[in-house]
Amino acid sequence: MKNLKRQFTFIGSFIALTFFVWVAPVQAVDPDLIDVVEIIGTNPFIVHTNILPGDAFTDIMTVNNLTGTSQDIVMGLDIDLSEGIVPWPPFELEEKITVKIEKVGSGFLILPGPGGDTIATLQELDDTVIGLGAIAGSSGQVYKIYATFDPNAGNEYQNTKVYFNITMSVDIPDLQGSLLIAKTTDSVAPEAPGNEVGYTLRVTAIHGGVNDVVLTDLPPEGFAYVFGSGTGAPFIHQYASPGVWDLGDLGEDETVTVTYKTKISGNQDDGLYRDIAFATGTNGSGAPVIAVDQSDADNFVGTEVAVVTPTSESVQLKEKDKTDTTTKRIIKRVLGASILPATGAQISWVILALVLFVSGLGMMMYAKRKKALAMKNSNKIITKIVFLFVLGTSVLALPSQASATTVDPRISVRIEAPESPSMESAFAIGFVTLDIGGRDLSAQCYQTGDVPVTTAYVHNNGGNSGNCLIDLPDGTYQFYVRASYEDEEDTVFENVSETVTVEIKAGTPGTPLNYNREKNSCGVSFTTANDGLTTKVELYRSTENSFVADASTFATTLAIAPNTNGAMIDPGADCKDYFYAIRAVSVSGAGSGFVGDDDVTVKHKTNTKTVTETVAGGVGGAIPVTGGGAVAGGETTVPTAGSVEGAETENVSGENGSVLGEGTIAGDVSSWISSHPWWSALIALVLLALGYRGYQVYQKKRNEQSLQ
Amino acid sequence: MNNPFSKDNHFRIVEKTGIVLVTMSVIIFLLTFYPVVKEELKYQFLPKHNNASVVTREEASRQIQTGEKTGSDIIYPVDEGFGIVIPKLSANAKVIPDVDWMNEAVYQRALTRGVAQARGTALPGEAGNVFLFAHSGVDFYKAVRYNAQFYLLNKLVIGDEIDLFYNKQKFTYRVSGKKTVSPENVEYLTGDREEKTLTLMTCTPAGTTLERLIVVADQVESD
Repeated sequence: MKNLKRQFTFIGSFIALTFFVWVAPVQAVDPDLIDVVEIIGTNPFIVHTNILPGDAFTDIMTVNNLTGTSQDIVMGLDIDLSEGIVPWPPFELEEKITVKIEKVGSGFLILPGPGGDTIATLQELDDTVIGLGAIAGSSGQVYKIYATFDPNAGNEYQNTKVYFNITMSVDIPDLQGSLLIAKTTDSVAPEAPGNEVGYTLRVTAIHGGVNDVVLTDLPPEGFAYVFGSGTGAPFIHQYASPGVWDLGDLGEDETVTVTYKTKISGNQDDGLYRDIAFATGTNGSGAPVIAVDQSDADNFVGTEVAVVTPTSESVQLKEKDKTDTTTKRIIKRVLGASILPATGAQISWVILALVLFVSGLGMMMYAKRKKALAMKNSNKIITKIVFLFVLGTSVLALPSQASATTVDPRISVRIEAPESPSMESAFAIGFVTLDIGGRDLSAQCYQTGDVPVTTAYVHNNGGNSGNCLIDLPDGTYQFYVRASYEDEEDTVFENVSETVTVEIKAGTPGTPLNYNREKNSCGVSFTTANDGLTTKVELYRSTENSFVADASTFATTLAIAPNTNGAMIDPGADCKDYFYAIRAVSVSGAGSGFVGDDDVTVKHKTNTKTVTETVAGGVGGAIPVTGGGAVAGGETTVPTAGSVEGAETENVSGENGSVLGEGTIAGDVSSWISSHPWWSALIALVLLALGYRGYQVYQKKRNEQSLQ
Repeated sequence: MNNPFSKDNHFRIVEKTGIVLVTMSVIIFLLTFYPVVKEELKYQFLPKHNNASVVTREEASRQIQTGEKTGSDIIYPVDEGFGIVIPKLSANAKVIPDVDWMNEAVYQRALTRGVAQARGTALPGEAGNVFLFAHSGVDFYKAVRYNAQFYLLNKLVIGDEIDLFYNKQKFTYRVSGKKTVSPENVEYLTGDREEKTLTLMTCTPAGTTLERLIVVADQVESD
């Protein structure tokens, strides 16, 4: 049980001749109550100008109960007229202003004072407590404050300027315990497949004790719990699907910290892997409590871990280069999203209103005209109305269908941000789903446009991890996962993950044929493969017969078409000492195998892929950013097989929302309508007009036939 | 008795249906654009607070005690922990930190409580860009649920002051630029990572999601 306050101070000024009240709220920051209750008023809270005796004014205050359970709210008032009164008046201003407070929907509150009624002067309200009544959990209550300046106050306030303070506080006498949850990872840099990653979860009881606290946590797909690594609390269910921890009863302000380690699969794809967790318990009244993640005020917490397959050779960057690269990658990470947040009304509603307006206006004009002409076949009109409605609503239904979603905040789903571009056409994108209600979830992966890409998973008993299995041709795609539960009445509760973008560049050119080099010459000749992909051939050389193809061994390049004879000459000196090798490269940067001098072995080199940086204010997980690493040596444009190029990652941002070449026709239409609202409206109107005209012609012909 | 299938009745039904459709469209228009119009009228006709002192309660007390004048027009931030005050627009709101701007469900929920700070962007006082966004209009059926702090963002001009409060500390910014961009221009999230800048974003034209209005401001370093 607690009795806590959140204070608001108001400063107002009264000038009698041109009476002026300016009241602005100051919210005393009380971290203990940020998640409990808040007062919302107009902005500024109260503003009244030019008020004279006899005037009345009304203000609205909303009190939000941010806890999950019903709370009895009490408001305290402290009115201070002691400062700033110029000159000090020989009269009592606080007796001249009367107040009534209405709890909207429930009537007026009984206020302190001798009358014991619903009206009181400011003086009677000073230093009193007013019961605002019960407010349901996670909801708000609107109060109207009516104030009247005594009409008989007279002229004694002339030329008087008065400042006054009103301090309002909100108490919750019977505040029950609630929970906070946070999760962090010890991963601060990209992890290699096979590495171990540690996680830490903290659950804290605040405002009172919470009993039977249970923590449910789900690491990403491919992250296996390291047996015996869990500390801090016993398991109810050890990790195999979600791990469930028994945290027991927590006293007020008590924190339980659990830690455990996971081992990343040796075959894990490169990407950014996300996890989720939540905690539940019961408070002193036996009411259920769900822990709150303070970072975003929802009930789920999670971190992100980047996984990058080690390269054949590491590239040492200078400190400055590292800084620059990291900065660029952060930008790319931010740019990885599709569009800036949408903070306006959906344009489809405006379009709908326009269509309704035009249709309605058309009908009114039509009815007026035709009434005068007295048409022969009156039934035609009804048919036309129905036709117009069906045609109009069916066209309008397309965009509204595309955006319909029923969100259940008790369900959470997070998807891995995979490496992009991907040089593989077939790969997996991991995801995790959890349901606070422990219901059986169905999880389905989609391409944007609601095109399913994987068979739906069924995750029993509150969620699990899974993979979206992707196998698509080259192109840029966006993916997301929808987790849903359907109850017995066929009501679907669902939530949708973030959307991730992947560019697939799997087309690999064939290795050049007929390689030939005259002994000790500086030139080579070859024939490109008839693959339809080769756009250039790269020449590498080294004094060693085993070398890595990278910027330091790169000699020159030749733009050339498939199935073409070509020759290249090394511009460097002492070419007779070099061993040479060539490979073909496609327009997307994919490289073929190497062919070269006898006994030459060439290793492919994969450039740096991903770095991570912790962002202040986050949950504590590593925020990853993808991009190309600098290749030492300066010729950084040399692409190599399997490389991930930063510049191309950056380009993804310019293609936002374009993607989706593989969508179904319905999906494409919906996406197109969503992204071209004005054109959609125009086309809808034209279709409406054409349809109507077509129907008129048809009716006319039919009437003519019936007359013959 | 009137014949319900008579020609006159048919025309009357058509006419009434038309009236209903027009009325519905007008209602949708009114509900969608009413907040915009209301804010515009308030801005045009209510007293302005361009020269108001924007201070914390603590600072006001200190100034009163030391005899410094704070002026008769005082604005206190609604949230000294993380709040924004734009005196010219009489905008005063709390800022919800670390909002996942890529997840519409998350940021729409945050926008019911105030202005949102985009996750991954700087916090006041840090080098980099503080990116805040809020509603300029909402769907007609949920207009009452959302704050509309940035309806009037287009009224800001170069030199206007914007105050951010973070951990009870005040950070003042001056508008240095304003432009309308397409929704795909996500580079405005990061801004210049070397400079201390503030970017405010909302949808434009008000009541639509067609484009984004971007207001960029530079932090004014205190002496």
